[in-house]
Amino acid sequence: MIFLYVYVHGNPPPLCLPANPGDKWADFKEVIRNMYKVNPDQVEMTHFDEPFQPQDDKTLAELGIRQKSLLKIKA
Amino acid sequence: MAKKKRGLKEEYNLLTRDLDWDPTFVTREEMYPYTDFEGIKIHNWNNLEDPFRVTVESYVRIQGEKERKFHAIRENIDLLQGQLDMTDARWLEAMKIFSSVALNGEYNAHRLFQFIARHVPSPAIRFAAITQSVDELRHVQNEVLLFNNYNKYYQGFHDWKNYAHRHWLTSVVKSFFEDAQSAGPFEALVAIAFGFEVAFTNLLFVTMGATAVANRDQSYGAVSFTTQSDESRHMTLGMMALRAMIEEDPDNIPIVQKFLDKWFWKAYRAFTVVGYILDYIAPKKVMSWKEAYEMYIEDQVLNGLFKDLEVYGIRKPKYWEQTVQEKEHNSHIAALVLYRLPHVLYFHPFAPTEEDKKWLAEKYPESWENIWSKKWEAFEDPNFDRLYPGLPMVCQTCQYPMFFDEPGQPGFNTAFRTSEHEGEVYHFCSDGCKDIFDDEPDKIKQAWLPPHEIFKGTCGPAEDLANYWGMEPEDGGDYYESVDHQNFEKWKKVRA
Amino acid sequence: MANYTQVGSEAIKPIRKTYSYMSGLKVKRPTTYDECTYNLEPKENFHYKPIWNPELNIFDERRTRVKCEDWEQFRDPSKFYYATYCYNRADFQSRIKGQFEAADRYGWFEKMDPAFIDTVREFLPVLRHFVFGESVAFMHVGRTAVGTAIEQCATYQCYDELGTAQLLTRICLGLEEQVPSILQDGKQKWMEDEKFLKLRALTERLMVTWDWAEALIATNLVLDSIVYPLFFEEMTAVAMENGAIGYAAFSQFLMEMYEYEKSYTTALVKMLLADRPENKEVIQSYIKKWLPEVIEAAEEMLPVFDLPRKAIDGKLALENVLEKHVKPLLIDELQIVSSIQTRQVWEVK
Repeated sequence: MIFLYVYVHGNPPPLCLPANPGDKWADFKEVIRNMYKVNPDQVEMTHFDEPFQPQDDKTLAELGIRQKSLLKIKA
Repeated sequence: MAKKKRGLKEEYNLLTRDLDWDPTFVTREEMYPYTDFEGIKIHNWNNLEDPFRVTVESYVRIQGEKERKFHAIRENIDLLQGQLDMTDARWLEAMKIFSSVALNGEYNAHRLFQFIARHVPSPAIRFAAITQSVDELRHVQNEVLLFNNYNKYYQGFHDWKNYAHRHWLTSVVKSFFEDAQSAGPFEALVAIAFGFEVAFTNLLFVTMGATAVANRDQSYGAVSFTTQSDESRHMTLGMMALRAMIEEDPDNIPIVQKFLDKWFWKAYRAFTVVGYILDYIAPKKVMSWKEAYEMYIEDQVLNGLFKDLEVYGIRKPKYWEQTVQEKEHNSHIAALVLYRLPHVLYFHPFAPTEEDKKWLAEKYPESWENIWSKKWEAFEDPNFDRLYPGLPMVCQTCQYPMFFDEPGQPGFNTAFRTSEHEGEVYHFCSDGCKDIFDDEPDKIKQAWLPPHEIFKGTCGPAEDLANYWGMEPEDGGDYYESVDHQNFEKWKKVRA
Repeated sequence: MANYTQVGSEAIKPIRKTYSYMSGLKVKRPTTYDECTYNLEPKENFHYKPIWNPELNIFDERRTRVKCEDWEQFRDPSKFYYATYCYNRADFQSRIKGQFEAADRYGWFEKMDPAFIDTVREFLPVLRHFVFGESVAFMHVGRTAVGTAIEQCATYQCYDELGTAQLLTRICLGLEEQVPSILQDGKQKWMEDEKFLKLRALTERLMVTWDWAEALIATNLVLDSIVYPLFFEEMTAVAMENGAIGYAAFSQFLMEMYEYEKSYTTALVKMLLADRPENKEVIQSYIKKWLPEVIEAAEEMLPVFDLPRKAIDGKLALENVLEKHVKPLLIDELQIVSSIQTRQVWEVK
């Protein structure tokens, strides 16, 4: 298990979320949808400050997400 | 009897420092194993002087008198239902926060000053420090007894010990004191005696004390008044120790500067919640956080104390400009974020009333209208999902939720800083907190961060978290829907 | 029921009496002492290890070899908390002040027998350093002892020892007219006089005894249970024989301080012995280490008993101390020692 942080711009503080690095993005993005009531497919994202465009079938690990990664979302 | 003519100072020396001797059966290193590793050089420990000249005899007499008065007041308030004199029970939300962090703070200070007394080989510091240790025991005990007056009638006090050591928010203050407890004796002295006592305690006991009195809370009024009478001695110790370190050797200056940078920033961050108390919780407000910061920190500390230290080559603490900028904003950020967390707090957050808002607009002409009133409007919208949906990310160093803004960009433009250490990333709310980590990564990385520990399972099953934190169901929720509010209104009518 | 006010037809009833965590204390009804003593010490979720001792936590039970299931159950028989400690000691200081006034009025110091002044100057100023050393040792005991109830006693003792060092200094100042260099000479004797080297060696060793329970037991059940009665009971009897009321009048204050230390330490040792059998061996090891050495140190100091005009045999004085104080405590009451012997078995009985 890893923790990662999800921040929606203008909406502090970021959430701390547990995740499994083997989880597919398709599953993880539902957490974002539930927590923030945003459509994760229609947002601009960065991983830390790098642009981030995840594919649904990739795992978090494959997308480069690691312990204490920070995803920032512009809704 | 014709006694030898002798000044008070000389007699005091015979009663204190002359008792000490240089050991010969154990080495100096064995006797004082922690004196050297921080790099502070003191050439003549006897140069330092205890300006207060308290003897055990005078101490127990003076303190005994103070105690008689304090406990008479405390018992009277209890007997006469003094809590019902308060302007509004909302003030008690401040006391809940205070008790859950200050009791632990005072207790840690009590033990820490024994460590300082034992390991700083200056007789002057030793006597002042051991006396302060005994004072701190006084403060924690008096506060425990006093807060039980509230505890008998209101929620949010009954398990301060678990709130203090287990709750996710109090780890801000727990980690502050434990950082000092785990530091060397000189850093600990600067941390608590200077960073905390000299620089910031006026806000706690003078400003908050005055606010308590204005809200007719005689209990906190009494405790802050009697505590402050000891603090002046502690502040003098802080100044004496600081002067001694910087005057004894120029090599000490950069070390002391680093301590000051760290502890000014840490204390400043930790005190954010006091802004919330002054600007929001207090039903009758006396002074805004901004005004208090200007008076006690800008005028007295940054432009007063640090001005005096300039001649020694000490400059103002790093990022002081940011603290001045933030005085417009941080109490609002804290209030807004806490408003969204009524389900995971042992006190009752709330949205400001119309009266509160009028006052805030007056006190914050620069930021209220343009920024923070708008955020409140959005939060109070019936369609807004008030409850924050999970556990917040917290800063590795100060452990506040990551809610502080990027300097110069107020309005929920959250600042993020990171550092890599041994292949792991660490997050910070500010440059100040990042610098502290970068300077001591192997220490600060150990922090017991509540959200992580909760997910790791350290705190038991998630559905049982409230219980782990020591909370009863009535502890949380909005103030205006709370049993505390209802009871206060009801009891007040009964008594009238 | 102090917190129950009946107004009109409706009552304003407290919803609870005390803090919820007080239920962990095994007492029928918590007193004020209990409320402001129990469970104050942090015990979990520590953030950082001390950089000066990273193997242990900030508060850690492993700083002593004795063990206990629940340290927080300890109760000081005197039930001192800060307020009652201050009241008690303020009264104590008033009594001391009264004695100094009496000493002034009746000339107890000026009229003291010169031979007895020579006796007092030989050891009393020396003891102020000894007591101060104990106070420093107790700064460490206070910092590292487990649980507020225990460290609170150690804190008060630390402060008391400072007070005692200051009291001894004041008595010496009372004798300054007759012996102007009494304090300077005393410090020199503490550093150089063979009679006191052993005591100083033990004091310095005590100050670096980092097992707090060892330091506490060595001080209160061994060092002080010999040194205090030797000088403030046996020597006091000698003082009376020599008309030195100025000395005798202050001895009770020292013995009262010793009684406080002894009472809480005895209660603590009893708790530890009852808690688990292994503690007995550990406590015995402390006593075995310290007792023979302290007796030896006391023997070295016995020549001071030869100095008064009406002198007594110092060996007899020490034997009295062992019979009246040490044996009843360690053999009879605590049953941690089976026999106690002086270095040479004297023919005094």
